[in-house]
Amino acid sequence: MGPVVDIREVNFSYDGATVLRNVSLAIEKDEFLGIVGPNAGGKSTLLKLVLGLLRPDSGGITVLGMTPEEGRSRIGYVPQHPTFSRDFPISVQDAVLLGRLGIGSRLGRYSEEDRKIAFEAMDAVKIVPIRHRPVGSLSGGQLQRVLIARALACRPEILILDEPTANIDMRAEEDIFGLLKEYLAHMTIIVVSHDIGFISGYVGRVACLNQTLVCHDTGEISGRTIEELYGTPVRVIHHTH
Amino acid sequence: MSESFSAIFEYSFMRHALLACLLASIGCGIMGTYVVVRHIGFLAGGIAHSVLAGMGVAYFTGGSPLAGAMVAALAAAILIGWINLRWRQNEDILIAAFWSVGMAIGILFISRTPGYNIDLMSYLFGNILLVSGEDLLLMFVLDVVIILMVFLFYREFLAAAFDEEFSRLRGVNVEFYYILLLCMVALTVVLLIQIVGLILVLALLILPAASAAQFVRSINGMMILAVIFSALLTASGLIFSYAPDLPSGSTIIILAGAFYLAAIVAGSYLKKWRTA
Repeated sequence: MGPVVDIREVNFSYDGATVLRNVSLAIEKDEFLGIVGPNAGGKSTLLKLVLGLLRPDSGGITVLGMTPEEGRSRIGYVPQHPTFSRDFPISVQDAVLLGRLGIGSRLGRYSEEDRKIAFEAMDAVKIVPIRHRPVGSLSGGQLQRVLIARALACRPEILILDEPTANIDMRAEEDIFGLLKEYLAHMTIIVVSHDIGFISGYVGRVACLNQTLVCHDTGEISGRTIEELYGTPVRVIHHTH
Repeated sequence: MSESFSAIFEYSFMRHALLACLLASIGCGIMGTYVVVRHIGFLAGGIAHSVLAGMGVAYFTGGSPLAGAMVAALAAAILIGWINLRWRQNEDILIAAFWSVGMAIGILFISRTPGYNIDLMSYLFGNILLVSGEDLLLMFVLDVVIILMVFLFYREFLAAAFDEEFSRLRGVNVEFYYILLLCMVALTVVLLIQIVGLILVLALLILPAASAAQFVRSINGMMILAVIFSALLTASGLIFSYAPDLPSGSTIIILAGAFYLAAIVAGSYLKKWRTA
């Protein structure tokens, strides 16, 4: 079997401004890949291309051997910010259950199986005790867990997280990735982050994206590669694995 | 007051009127909930007002005004929805255009209708006491259609209303369900025009659901409570208006407005009590 996500020589521009230049990336099954880079370096754009929400100007992308539009139903996607309004009257449990949409029973109600899978997803990120609370009453960290649980409830083959650490305090971050590491052993995971020091502790390979893309094994990352990427010296916080 | 109560059982027109209130409340509570959570109140208002075009044309050609209303409501829903999806930034202008152009077409046709000068007021403000057995049957059918659709597509409507991007990624045809939702709002508007007329329909569609939102925190809960509120408001408005011979539609809307204010106050106390 080929790569799970195959990005080949993709170019993309918004209104004439180049965002991605000749980007190629093959992501293998069960890989845990980090994508880092400065803001506006094209990280979210690359995700949107993989999800089929945008189309490349040139080049090709396949997801599980299919077009992104066909393959994306097998992707669990955790957006950077909730894409819903917080005053919507919906409980945590019902929001997570929406991850079962398009899978299993087509019409009407959720099956027992759907409910079981949603419960397991909530259990994995430790939000079972707050499952009856309305999403509007949650803190940023709790909301992030709801978004992750909803993505897990899709039973995805690929999990994509966009800046999962953007809104939470460090302790909560640590927590979520600790959980991800155990639960997601048999899943291909793509994590986008601007926070290179944090991400390299978990991932197997890091793709550095700033219009163009360079891959590193996590062992190789040094202050120098980061400097190349950001164009300015960056303070590196050393950490042990 | 007792005079009103006995009248309900004495006269068939009062029985019809009361039944019409209950039937309208079912569609009103269910679809009003979607209108409130999706913030498309004024879009619904645009659909409601453009209905007069259909009524006017039907009257001019000798057709049934209610059938004309239904065609116009569905056409307006599909057009507004479709244009809105393509040129999203112009939603308010689009609504305003349908709102007033629809009414203008209606009034033009009504003014050109020869013979008996019809009572425009009953289209605009409703006349619940003139509801016929046939009207009731139509209202019943519309309710069945709305309940069936919501039962079948509950999750899709919920998902598309809650989180468009995620729904799209899960393979939900968000655009299709948006237009379908607007069509069902259009049918509900036709239901409610019988009760309060097309000018006041917006308030009846929104206020019971918005009141319900103060007390419950789920879509199902909102729907059920909104149906109950709507039934209580329309029925009591009808009864209150009977003895002093007030216009029933206006009485219902004023009650609904007062009830909404009370619900906001009660809801805020409830929140304090819950968090305490």
